[in-house]
Amino acid sequence: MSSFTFPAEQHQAREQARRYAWRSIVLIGATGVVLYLVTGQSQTMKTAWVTDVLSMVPSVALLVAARYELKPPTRHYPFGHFRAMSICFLLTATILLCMGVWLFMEALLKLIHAERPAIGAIVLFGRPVWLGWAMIGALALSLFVGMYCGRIKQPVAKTLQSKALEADSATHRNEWLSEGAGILGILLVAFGWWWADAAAAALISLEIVHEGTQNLRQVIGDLMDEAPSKLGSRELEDLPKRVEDAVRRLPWVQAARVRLREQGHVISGDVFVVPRPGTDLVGAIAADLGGVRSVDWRLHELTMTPVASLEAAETGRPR
Amino acid sequence: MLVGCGLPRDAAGTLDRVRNGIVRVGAAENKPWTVDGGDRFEGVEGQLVTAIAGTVGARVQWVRMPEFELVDALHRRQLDIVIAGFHDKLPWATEIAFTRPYFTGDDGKARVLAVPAGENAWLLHVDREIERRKSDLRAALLRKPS
Repeated sequence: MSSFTFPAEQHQAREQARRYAWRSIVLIGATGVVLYLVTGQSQTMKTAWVTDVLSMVPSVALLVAARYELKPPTRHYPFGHFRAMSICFLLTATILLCMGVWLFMEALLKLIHAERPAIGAIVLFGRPVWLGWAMIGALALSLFVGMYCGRIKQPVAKTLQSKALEADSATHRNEWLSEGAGILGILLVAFGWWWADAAAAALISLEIVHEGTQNLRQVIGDLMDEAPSKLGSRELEDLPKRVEDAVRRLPWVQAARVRLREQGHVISGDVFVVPRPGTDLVGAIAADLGGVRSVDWRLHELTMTPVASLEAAETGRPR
Repeated sequence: MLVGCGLPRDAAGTLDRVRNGIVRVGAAENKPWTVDGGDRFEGVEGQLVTAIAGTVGARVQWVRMPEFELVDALHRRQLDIVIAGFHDKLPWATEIAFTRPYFTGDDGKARVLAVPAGENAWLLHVDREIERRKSDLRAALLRKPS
C-alpha cells in the first residue's frame, strides 16, 4: 500500500496546525508562568494554573503524533501509523479527566475543612499591591490567550476534518468558563467571602472533568472503529452512502456494500461488490479503485472484495 | 492608610476591629527575632509588631504561648498576629497566613509574621507596613551581630 499524502489544501492546513500548535504552546506557557507567579495559596489559582498547563498537552500531542502518522507502513505496523493521533488523543483525554477529578476532590476538601485563602500583597514595580488584583489580571490574560488559540485552530480543524484538533480548539474556546469562574471567585474573596475561592476551583475542575469525558468519548469511538461522524457531534456522515453510490455506478458492478472507519485523520474500509458475470475482476478493480477513493480525500486503504452475493458479506452489514 | 475602594475585605473583619482598639499579639521567645522582656516583647519582631499596631491606632495585648499553641490559636482567630521568628518554609501555610518576609538572612530563611487565614485586608495592611520598613529593618539587623 502506498503511503498517504494529503491534498494540497489539507497539506497546507496540516502545516498550519503544527505552526498553531507551537504558537499556542509558547503563548500558554508564558501565561502559565504569569499564573504560577501569582498563585499564592489560592485554590482557584492553582486549579487555573493546572488547567492552563493541561491545555498545552493536546498541542504537544498533536506535534508528536504528526511526526508519526504519515510514516509509511513497516513490517511491524503494516497498516501504517495513523492511529498515533488517536493514541495521543486518548492520553490527553485521560490526563484531563484524572486531573479534573483530583482537583475537584481537593477543592471539596478545602470547603469541608473551611480552609480560608490567604491573599496578601505582591510587590509590582516597587509598590505593594493586593495579590488578588494581580490574580484577576493573570486570569484575564489566560482567558484572552485561550480564546485566541481556540479561534485560530477552529478553521484548520474544519479543513482537516480533525476531531483531535476540533476538541483541542473547543477546549480553548471553553476556557472563558473556567477563567470567568476564577475571576468571579477572586472578586468574591475580595468582598470577604472566603469560600468563593474553593467554590470557583470546584467549578473549574468540573469543567475539566467535562472536557475530559467529552474527549474520551470521541477517541473511544475512533479506537472502536466508529463510522465517520460529523465534526463535533455524534451524527454519522453520509460518506459510506456516497462511496456505495459511486461503486454502484460502475458498469461491471451489480450490487455493492461499503463499511468505513475513521483512523485518526484518515478513513479506511471495505467495499464488497457483486460483479456482473464475465468481468475481468483484477483489471476492473485496478482500474476503478482509484476513482472510488477520490470521492473523499480522507479515503485511504480502501479494499474491494468481490463476493458471490451481498449476504456473503453480511458480517460487514450494520444493523 | 486608605486601601483602594475598601477592597479586599476581611472574612471576619479583623482590620476594622483592631483599628483604634486592641491587637492581640501572640508571641513566643525566639532570639534574636523575639525577646521576652517581661511586660512586652522586644527583638526586631517585637518592635515591628508594636509599630504596625501603632499604624492603626491600636494598643498591643501580649499573649505568651508555646509556638504550636500559637499556631492553633491563630487558626481559630483567637489572636490577630503572631511573632515567633517564623520562616516561610514552615508547614503551616494552609492553616495560617504568613506575611511577606521582612528579612532574608544568610541562611536563606525568609523571616515572616503570621496572621489568621482569610483576613486579607489585615494581611495586606501588615504586608504594606512590612514593605515600608523592610530596608530599615535589614540595615538594623545587619548592624548588630546576632
